[in-house]
Amino acid sequence: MKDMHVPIQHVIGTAALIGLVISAGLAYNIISSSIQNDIIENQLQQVSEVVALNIVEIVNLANFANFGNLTRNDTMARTVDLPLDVSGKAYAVQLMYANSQDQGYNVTSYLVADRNTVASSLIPINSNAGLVQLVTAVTSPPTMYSVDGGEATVTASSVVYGGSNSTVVWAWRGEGNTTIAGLGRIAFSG
Amino acid sequence: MHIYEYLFTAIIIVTMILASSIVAETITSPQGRISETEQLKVTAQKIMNQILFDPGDPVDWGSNHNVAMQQLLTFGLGQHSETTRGAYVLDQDKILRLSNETNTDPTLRPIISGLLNLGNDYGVAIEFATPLIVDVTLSPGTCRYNIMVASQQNGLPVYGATIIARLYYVNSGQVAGSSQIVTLTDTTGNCIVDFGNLTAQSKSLVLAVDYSNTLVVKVVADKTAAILGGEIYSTTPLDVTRTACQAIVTNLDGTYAIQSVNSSIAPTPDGWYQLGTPEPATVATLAVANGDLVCASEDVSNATYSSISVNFQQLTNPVSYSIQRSVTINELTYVITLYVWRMSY
Repeated sequence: MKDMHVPIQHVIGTAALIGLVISAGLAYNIISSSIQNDIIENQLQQVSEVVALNIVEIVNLANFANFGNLTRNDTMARTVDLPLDVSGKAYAVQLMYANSQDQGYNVTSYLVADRNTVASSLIPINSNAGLVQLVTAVTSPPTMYSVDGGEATVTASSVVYGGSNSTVVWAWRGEGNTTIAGLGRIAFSG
Repeated sequence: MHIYEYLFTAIIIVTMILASSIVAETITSPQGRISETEQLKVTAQKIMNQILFDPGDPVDWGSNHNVAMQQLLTFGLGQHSETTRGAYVLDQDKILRLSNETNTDPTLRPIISGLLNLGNDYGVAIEFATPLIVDVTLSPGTCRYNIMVASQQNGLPVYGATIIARLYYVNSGQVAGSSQIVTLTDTTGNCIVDFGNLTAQSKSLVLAVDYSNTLVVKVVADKTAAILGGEIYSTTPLDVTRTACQAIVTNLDGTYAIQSVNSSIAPTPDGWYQLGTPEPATVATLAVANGDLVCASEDVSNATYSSISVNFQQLTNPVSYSIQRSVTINELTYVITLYVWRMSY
């Protein structure tokens, strides 16, 4: 009986160790995934912040310059240099509006493959009924705006993807102090 | 292999996992903190841009007191004009209204932070300051004022600042102004302005401090009223049979002077008093109420806004950020400071 007892101890011990190694591997994987997720969310947050800041600035610039229909039907646009990917993963940037006291317009970035990995940045405009209106829904066909007297065209879009060098924020000031602004893609004629 | 050797191996494995997790967390957490500070910085820039350049919606929400704060669609302090606009030029009516209404009615504070989309995530505070600190002390029972001028930047006394002072009071039921006194501060930044023996019950002192073409205006009044867009609101009924006096700081050939422009006043149906000819560069409007002088100052140097009721400067907040900008309000230079902090982590 004593000779039988030692192998069983070894079997249990070895099995427990193998289980522990597997569990440790899984635990490490979960922890490293969580850390990587935090890093990705941080990067997405930075992308959202930069896009939101650019939108605020282009809206104020268009308002400030009384740009638009006073002289010609023209649009202001600024290229946003977005990174190709975040940690090797494709991402999208979306301009959104949530009709609540605390969440008006915001810029939300998320991984294309995982919509749960997301980061938002506020735009300090709460109402969509005011003089500044941001384009948060894509129309079909998409609205196009002329830039620099027709030298370029901006196609309005509520979602843009990382890595494109044609991503812009744009603003168009119409009559009655109304300013329409949003995300889009720019195409230069010729 | 004995049982304790298995246990020892297991302990080593668990320790390695824990140690590597802690190291990974330690390496990434400073990056996270830096990132959080950077995000707060960008958020502060967005809010500052919105406050400085946007006139708000409706654009006349400062001067039109019939527009309630609750009716605002967007918030901004920029001065509105249909044709031209100056950069960093703010509307003093909006600042006065923001400061007065949110400090007297704290329930309005969340409305502003709601309009800025801050929700419960961020807290903000706004402060205005003049480039020079002007401290005025009245000797009891006299019309003798001690004026101390110091630099806002370092608190050091300012030598050689020109002080232009005029005292307003009620004489024979009418607003009267003393002759103007012009003097200079001494090496300690102090000077005395003495208007002699005036027996008036209530007085208002209007000061213009000029130092190397930096002009600061200060109004010290015994009894005050509110003014927005050329309309006065006073808790004491104003004597509309008497003209109101508007104090204006003028610059003629580089020399500043305090001048007075009279205007009729008429009550409006909503309890305010409309000035007949409101002057755009007025620093204080003075009127008679029950035989006393009432002063409606347009000085914004003490204007503040905070999204929380407690003194935000006493909060110990590990993640906060502030931005300062020079702005022009009613032709005068001020420094606006925006504080932004995270309400949750």
